Amino acid sequence: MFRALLKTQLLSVITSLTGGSGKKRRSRGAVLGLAALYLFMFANFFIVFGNLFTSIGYSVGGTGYEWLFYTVMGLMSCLLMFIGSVFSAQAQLYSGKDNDLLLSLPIPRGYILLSRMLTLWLYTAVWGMTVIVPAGVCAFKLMAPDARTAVFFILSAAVLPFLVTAVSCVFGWLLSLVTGKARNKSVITTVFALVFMVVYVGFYSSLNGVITRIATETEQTAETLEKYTRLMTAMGKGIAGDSIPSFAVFLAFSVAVSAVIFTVISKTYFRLITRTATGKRHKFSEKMIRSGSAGRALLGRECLRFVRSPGYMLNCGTGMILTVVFAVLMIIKPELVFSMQSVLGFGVPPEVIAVAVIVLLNSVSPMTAPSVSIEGKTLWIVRSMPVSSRRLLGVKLLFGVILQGGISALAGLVCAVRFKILFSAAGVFTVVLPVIFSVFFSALGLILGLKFPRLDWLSENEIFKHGPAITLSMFAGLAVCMAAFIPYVAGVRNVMSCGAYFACVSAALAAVSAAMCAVIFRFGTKRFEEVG
Amino acid sequence: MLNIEHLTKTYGDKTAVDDLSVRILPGEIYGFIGHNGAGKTTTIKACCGIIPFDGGSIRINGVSVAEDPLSCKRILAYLPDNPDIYEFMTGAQYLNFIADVFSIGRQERATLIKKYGDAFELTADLAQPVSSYSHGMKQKLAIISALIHSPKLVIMDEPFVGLDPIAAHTLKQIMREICAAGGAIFFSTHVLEVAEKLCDKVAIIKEGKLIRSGTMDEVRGDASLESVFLELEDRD
Repeated sequence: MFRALLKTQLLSVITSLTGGSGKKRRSRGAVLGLAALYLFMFANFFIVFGNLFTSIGYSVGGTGYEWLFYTVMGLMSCLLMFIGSVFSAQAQLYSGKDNDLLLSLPIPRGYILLSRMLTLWLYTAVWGMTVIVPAGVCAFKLMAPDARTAVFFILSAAVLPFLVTAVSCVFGWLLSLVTGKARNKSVITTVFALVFMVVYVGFYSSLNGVITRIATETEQTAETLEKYTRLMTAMGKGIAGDSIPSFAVFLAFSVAVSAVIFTVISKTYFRLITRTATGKRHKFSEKMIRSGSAGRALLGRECLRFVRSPGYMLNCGTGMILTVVFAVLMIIKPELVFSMQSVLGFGVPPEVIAVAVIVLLNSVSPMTAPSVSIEGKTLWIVRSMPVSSRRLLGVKLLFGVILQGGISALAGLVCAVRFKILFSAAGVFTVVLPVIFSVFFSALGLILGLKFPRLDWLSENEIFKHGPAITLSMFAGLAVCMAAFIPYVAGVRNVMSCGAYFACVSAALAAVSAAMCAVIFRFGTKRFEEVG
Repeated sequence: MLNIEHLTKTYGDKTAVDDLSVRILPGEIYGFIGHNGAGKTTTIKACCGIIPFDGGSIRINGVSVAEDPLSCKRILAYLPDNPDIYEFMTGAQYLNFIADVFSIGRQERATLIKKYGDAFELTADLAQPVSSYSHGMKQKLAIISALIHSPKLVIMDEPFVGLDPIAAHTLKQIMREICAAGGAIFFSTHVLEVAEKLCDKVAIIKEGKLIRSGTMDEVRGDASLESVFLELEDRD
């Protein structure tokens, strides 16, 4: 019974990659292409973390502080796993559309929770491996571990994802409790997420600072980590062979915490997944009957869906919220950009850095990528209405452009004013370039959403976490962002002014955007009619 | 009103609808019955322009659904068997959305929402989010949204599923009113007693093929519709 449950959960993940069965199944080439892309993404992570752990390995190998290596590995992997799973925990555990079906079957409730947690564990573990595997390879090459170290390392690699999954589930549980009766779940979830991210970034920055001092201040770094990260230190010392009882403590604590969390969550699980989300009851009045144009109604629908969906807002709107935060920071603390100049080279104008940041934040807000899939089982509504597919896609595109473009333009304007370049070519394009990028990114997202639709989801999570459209969209957006700015930083700035460079990039992006829009309206409409 | 001629739809190797021809005149309530997987929903979706079809033609008031789907959709209303509705909207917001797309004026929509909202006893719940609605309430909301733009042709897929007896009775009355005003209803159902009492004509479909059609008296003769249906299903 439990195996059948788990199989169903895993099938959902596989389906999101393969497209399903029968007619919906993606071609072998498409699946291989996607797999290759994911592999490329992970390969990049491996290289980054491989370099990091090589550097740490050389610093601590043979010094008696080898445990630092494993402690840092534990911390970095936990941080990455946590950020990868915390926002999907709530949707994964509580928001499945098959809740009623599963509860009506003779399945122990604990099995339902456990199968969902294990699926989350799998997802978490994949993220964890991007740190643990390169760390393991570096440890093997640089520190000649013995068999006991290897066994403890593998045990840690298995246990850490459980621990992180359990903690993520606590956050998901808390979020479910808090948003239970709230009318505006998305706003609360997004605020919750933002607060969390601020704390997370703060913690990550502190850790980063500690890691950079490992080579030069090994002893002090060891003291700091020992003081503030006892659990990971216990794990690190256990793996390094300094203290086997420490490792036993780490294992016992991790297992105990996971078990306690599971027990606590399972006690409220049935109540939370069967709770009717009513909130405050409003009285109907004729004032609620309002009329508007069809275009406004369609745009309003996109907007309302975005604002009312916690998953949509969190996974696709965080970049835009951060863009607003960036704009505010530019008003109160513009020296932030000047400090980045010291890293990139003082020849890089601040407006280039600012626009790069805005564009980068844009590319982690794939608004249009899920906009086809999120229609889900309600697609029949627009299909049965006298609205052409062309118009529907146009509205989806417009929504992405208005929201992202509008916020980007505002942020660009703030930067242009702050850097006193508003009436120069560079200043104009500081506003225009991010807007053009929004058009490009929205068109790209929509094309990918049409190419990789997923309408049969049981939980919105399946679109945002397992859907290739969003991943590809962000990946491509980041690649274009780097392609747009790295040449300037690398040397083009010596031969071209910032304004001229911005104009060239804007023109190129505008041309590509126009072509992509033509593709959407020429071929995308037919594709949309075939979807589902 | 609705003219289906030699409709054929295949999914891979399977022929879901095979050379189906049905004609529905204004003022008729036309029932469509068949076993599960017979091709009813496919036929209905093809009529509404939701899915393309491989052969034949479907015309609504002389306009081809394949060539000019938007014109056809302006005068028809579709009610699926399982109406998944936007859970992020309230009932009122959903009705406003539908009415806006169909360009229904504020006064007219207010009148119709009140009329149908009261008829289905849903008015008080229109301010609540659809996510809080039961299946029956969603069904009622879907029905109201289908009627709000005064369609000439109403196509429904098992409309009585999930409705309480009062709502089912109300729906039947509304169907008769629409037909009395010159409209037409085409609906599928498994509830043969309802089809017998309500329909002017009926078509029975089996494995994608039309096996019997005509007025209720022509189809059932002296027997009940149920016995005729069972006999036809058993013949193979």
